[in-house]
Amino acid sequence: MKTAQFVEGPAGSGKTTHAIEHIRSLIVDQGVRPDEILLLVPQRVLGRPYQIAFSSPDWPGGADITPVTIGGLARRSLELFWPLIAEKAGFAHPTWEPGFLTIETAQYFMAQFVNEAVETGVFDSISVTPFRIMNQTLDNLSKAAMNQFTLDEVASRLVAAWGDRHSSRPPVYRASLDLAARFRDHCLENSLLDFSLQIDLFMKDLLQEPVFERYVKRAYRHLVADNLEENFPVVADFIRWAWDMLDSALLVYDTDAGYRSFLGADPAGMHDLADLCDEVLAFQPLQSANSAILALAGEFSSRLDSATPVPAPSPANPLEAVHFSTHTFYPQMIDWTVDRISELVAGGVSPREIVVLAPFLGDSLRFSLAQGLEQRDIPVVSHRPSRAVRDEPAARTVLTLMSLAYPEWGYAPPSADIADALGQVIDGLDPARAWLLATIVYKQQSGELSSFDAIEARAQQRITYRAGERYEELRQWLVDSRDLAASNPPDVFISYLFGEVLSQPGFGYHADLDAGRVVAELVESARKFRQTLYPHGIEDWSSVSKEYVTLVRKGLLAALYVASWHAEDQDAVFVSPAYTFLMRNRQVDYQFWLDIGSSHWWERLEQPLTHPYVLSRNFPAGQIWTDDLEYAARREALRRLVVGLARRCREGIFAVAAQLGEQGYEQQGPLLLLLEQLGRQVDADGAG
Amino acid sequence: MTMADSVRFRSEQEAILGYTGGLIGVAAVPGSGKTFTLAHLAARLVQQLVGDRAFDVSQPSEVLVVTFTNAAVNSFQARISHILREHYSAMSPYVGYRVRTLHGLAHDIVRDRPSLVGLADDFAILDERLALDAQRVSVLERLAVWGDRLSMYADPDVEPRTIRYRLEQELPDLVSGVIKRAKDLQIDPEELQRMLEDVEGDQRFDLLRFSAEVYADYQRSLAYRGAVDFDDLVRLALEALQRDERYLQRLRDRWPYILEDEAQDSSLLQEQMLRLLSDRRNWVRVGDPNQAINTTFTTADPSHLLAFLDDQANPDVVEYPLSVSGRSAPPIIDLANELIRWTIEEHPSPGAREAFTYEHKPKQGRVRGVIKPAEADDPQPNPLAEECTIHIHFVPGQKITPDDELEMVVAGEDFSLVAWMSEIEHLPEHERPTVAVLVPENSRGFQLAKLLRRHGVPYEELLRSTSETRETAGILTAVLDYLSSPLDLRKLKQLYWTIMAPELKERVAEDIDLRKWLTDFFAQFRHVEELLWPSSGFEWGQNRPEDEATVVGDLEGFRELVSRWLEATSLPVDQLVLIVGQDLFAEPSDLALSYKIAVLLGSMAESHPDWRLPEFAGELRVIANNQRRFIGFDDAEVGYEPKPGVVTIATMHSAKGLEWDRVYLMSVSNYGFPSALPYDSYIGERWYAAGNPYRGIEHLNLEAEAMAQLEALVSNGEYYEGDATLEARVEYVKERLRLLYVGITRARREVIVTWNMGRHWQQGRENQPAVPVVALKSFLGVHEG
Repeated sequence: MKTAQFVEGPAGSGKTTHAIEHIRSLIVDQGVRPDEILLLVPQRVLGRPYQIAFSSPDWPGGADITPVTIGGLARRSLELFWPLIAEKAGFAHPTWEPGFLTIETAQYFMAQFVNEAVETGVFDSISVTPFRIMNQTLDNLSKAAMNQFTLDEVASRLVAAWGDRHSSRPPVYRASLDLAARFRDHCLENSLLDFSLQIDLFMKDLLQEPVFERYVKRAYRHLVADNLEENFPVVADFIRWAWDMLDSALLVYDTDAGYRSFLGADPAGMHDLADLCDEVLAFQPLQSANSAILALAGEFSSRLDSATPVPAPSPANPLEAVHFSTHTFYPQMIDWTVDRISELVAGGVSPREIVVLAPFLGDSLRFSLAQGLEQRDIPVVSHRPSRAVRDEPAARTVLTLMSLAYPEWGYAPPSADIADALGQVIDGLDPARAWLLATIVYKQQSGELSSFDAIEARAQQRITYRAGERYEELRQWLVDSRDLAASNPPDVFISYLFGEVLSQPGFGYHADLDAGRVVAELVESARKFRQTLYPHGIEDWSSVSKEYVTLVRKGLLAALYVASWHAEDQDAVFVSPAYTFLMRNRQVDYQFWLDIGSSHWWERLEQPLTHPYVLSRNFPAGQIWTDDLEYAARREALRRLVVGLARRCREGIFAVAAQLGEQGYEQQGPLLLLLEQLGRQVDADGAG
Repeated sequence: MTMADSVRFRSEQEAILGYTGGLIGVAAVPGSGKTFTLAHLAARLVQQLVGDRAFDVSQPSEVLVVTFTNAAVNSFQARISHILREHYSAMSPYVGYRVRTLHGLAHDIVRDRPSLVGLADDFAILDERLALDAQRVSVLERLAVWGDRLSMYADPDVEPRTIRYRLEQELPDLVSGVIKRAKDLQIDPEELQRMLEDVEGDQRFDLLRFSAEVYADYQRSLAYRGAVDFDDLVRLALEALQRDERYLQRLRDRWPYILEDEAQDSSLLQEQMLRLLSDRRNWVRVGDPNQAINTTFTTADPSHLLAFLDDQANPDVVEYPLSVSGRSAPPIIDLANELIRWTIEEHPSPGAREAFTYEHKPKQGRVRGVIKPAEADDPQPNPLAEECTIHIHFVPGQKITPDDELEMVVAGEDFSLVAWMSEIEHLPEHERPTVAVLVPENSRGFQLAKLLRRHGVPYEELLRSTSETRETAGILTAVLDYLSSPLDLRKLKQLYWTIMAPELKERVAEDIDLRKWLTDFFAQFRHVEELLWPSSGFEWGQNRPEDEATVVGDLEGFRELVSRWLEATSLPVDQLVLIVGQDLFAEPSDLALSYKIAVLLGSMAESHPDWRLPEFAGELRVIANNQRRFIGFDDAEVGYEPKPGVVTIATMHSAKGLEWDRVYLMSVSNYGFPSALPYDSYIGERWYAAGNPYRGIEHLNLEAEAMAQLEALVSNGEYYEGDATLEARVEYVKERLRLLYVGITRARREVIVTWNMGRHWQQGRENQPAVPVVALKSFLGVHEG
């Protein structure tokens, strides 16, 4: 290693800018080939600033570098070196192509084991849905991989941390780890690789291979790793492994962040990498930063962490950076927020400079905000829309029509769904007439549609002949398509349905880009599903299509959301959970903190089967996780959160509270009390 | 401003407000200002805590106030914040205290650390109806196997088919009671199963055995949904405190003072929880054991408070009296005191003599069960004796049918409501007195309301809880109902009337022509689509009256709204409800309620992916009819304020904590107020149940027997069939005596007591006037004499 630099500082101090300049200098001044630079980030979205820089006109031509995550790197490497490790790693059929599982497909396999286990009553002593049991078990696998723990170690850590509080819990932990082991065996048997197995194979097997080592040495000469504080312990292991093969390294670390600690990130372990570097640079907040906001961040820090010194008296009044507003009811809070945003926008603030943050963003809140802003013609985007793909009218329509095309499934949708689908897809058919049509032509018992021509003339007239014609066209297509059902996988079938009928002139989705996007997402999910489960194809696809549609209906698949097309690049107000915004890592002029009375601002996800802090290398194995530790962890998480948010704000924060929360409960969470106390005391000090 | 400037306290109240720490207990009498005193004490302690600069926001100290009902929580909260704002103006009035019911407190405790008790952070709380539904499913399934075995609990003279039907109807409630009690005793299904193994083969325990199987099914179904019910919440909260010492310590630090109101209704678990949380440091318990009216089939029991006050067992508890009441005129006070004296000394059934607690040792601070009028210079003196009337309508041998009684109360000659209305007519509205008619059960109240309407007497009913929830939910139900069958023209018309603005409704009601025009207007359509999506050429408001532009505008608005909603039916139900709510409501509380309903239906949609609008409309109807405990806003009304000149109709239970100038107590017969005499009958003893002739029991009280089976197992005691039925009688008699006491003490100036023979008098089953009422009547006679 010739040079190694560790750069740390708070958000907005210019670290990423520094890293981009470093890359530019490698390319321009040192003549490094762009593909020799490994740019490692914890999440793809954190690579956005780099991609934006790389695509700007003044960037040295043709120098596209793709930021990668450790998962992406592992997967890419495993694809390349599969034959080398498949047998050694214990796969039953090393010659089979590896099947990389998405979250959805991993859940699909895990669900089967979980359902069996739940039936035996082994999870009876906890009150957790099978879906959560499945997720938490997958989480245990991921945590094991990220920390390179064995499953036994995970179990013994969880059991030890529980202490002797109640004898019913340890067996439940063990049951979850048993499921994990069975799932792992299943993967090895069928050449399936979930995230945890990818990481395990990469770290335990691939890194031991001299061939792979030579490959890395040849491929990468320079490392740039940003947002190290959000990355997993195995990333530090990988960096240490590669260290001596590199010519240079730039490690970038955001102090006071580590927002993904509860997902397994290891800020402390990452910081130790500084010891490897010959130069450590500490960046300070930019001089141009708003002094009132800096004072506010300082107040937050010292009030939530007794170790942080009380900030030196500053001429800036932190209260100037924050505007409080309290309302009795939840919708009043939403209305007020919409009003303030429209005032800001009317005053010339660009919508993209405004974010609306809540600790927990339910669909109803998201929908209400979006509706309010759209009514005032203010563009708004969210990290995800307020409906899952399966709840999108277009997706529901497609699934309903699919059930009609496959009568042998024996699933006849309720009339309401048929009315809904007909209203959606037949251009010019209003909901009342769609109901009428559905009531006449559809019999749920048979699950079949009858012909428009066969119905009474008076009813035809009521429905209109024009709509009848379209309906006939659709019905005929569905009838004809029965011949296609067996020979086409579900994704292909959906594409046909959409392409040949629904998107044609005279049908509801003609020139409807949003519906197109939703259907594309559905097609993608169906494609991944059948590729993973039936990589070698199958003679009759109709059972696969049925399985897919059933799982979607049960909410097991396509719970995903239509990608919000580079939401952060649009000139729109951004609505998201607070942590999601932090992970976007960008500064804005104004932040609205909604529902500051909610205790969600400082509570983590509570998962009875796993534990983010106990399953971390920093936590001593065998120690009990006490309430004191829990409380300290929450306090620290709240501190990082509010300090991080303040540092990503330029002009001001609107802190908005509803005395009665979404459910009508009165709320007095710590963030509300913190702000109230700050208000009282700073006021009093100022007055005194 | 200091408190002394604005509020005057009685010396008994002052003594309690001087509290600085330790264990104290207060046995208060009706009208002595216990909630008022406790709220002032809370505010003072809050000031002390929050005023401290070391107040830590992430672990703030709070005064914890625990009371019995959600309505009491809201009114307590309003009182404290009012006092803090008015008398300690420097503070934020919502910080430093927390007022909760037992369930609310349990929810807070579990919510903070769900994984401690095996819950995920998104655990659901199953409301009472869904819980009962789940239990019913299991009861019916298991009855198929158990039917014959359970018939031993049935009267052999009753047709087996009838028995089966009755069991199907009534077992779910019975089992639900057993499950609740098992949870109160912290016994899970497995443990219950183990206990039952000890009495294997003993058929007497079959009812419990059956319940235990349902209990196991039910808990399994809860676990599968990631849900808990209200009783679990309390059980789990206690479990969390018992499991994690450090967590308990954190909560102890958080709540250095615990104030408990309505402590006579404290249950076993509530007492255990508060005992743990208080660590017996600073715990103030206030209640009136003589007003304990929630004891039947619950573990609420005034004996918890009385045991706490027992100076032998708890020498560290200091008792303070609150025995002075300025509420009622002296003769009414005498009447209430006499009810206690008569019960204790003369009640014909010795077991019932313990219904009330009475003690008069002022020197030791113990004055219980005797109400004393206020001194002359009291800030709130009693009404004068001269203004007081007491009428107990009892003439030996007189027969009064239920209809006669209603007629007498509403429009009779002497003391009726109609007569009263004409007496007060001339008074300015705010000077008119208040009046309530208290009935033993809702159905009687509805009959009364009907008659009052007929006589044009204004009234308000407190029979079901908040009307606001019902109205908002009712309107949303009407919308969803129509949207789920959009071709139904009749429903569409109904919807129009339902959501019509009140002003317009009034106009239409007054204007016959307008009404006719609207009727004709709707009559011209044969199909929904002609109205909502007319084909071209249709003119709105043809032949309309010239000045009816508003109505036409309203109809156009209606058409626009309904078509918009119909188009939105393809969205998830929560989003549909949000849209409808936004369109229909302007009041923040209505909007908040529809928002909450949206969230609730959204979560139901998640757990029932196969549900469509008809199912959601059905759920909403249940909320609207108030058959469902809808936690959150439904209780947002802060206490009820009787309106001058308007009759309040309430049950005696819901009248607790309220007062009126005149109070009627209706249907006070031996049916609702038995005295454990041979001719009394009891609601809990079902006609189809087997009896135990050796013990003189015609029909067993099955619910009481099942609970007794459970308790015998838990305490390792013996179970004798019939004991529980007899005990339940005495407990019921006692509770009803206290209920009568509550009724009498609601009155400031006038009490009128009436009775009737009951519905079955023609079949020879005639009710009698309640024995205590007869005793009070003769007391009045002697007194007046």
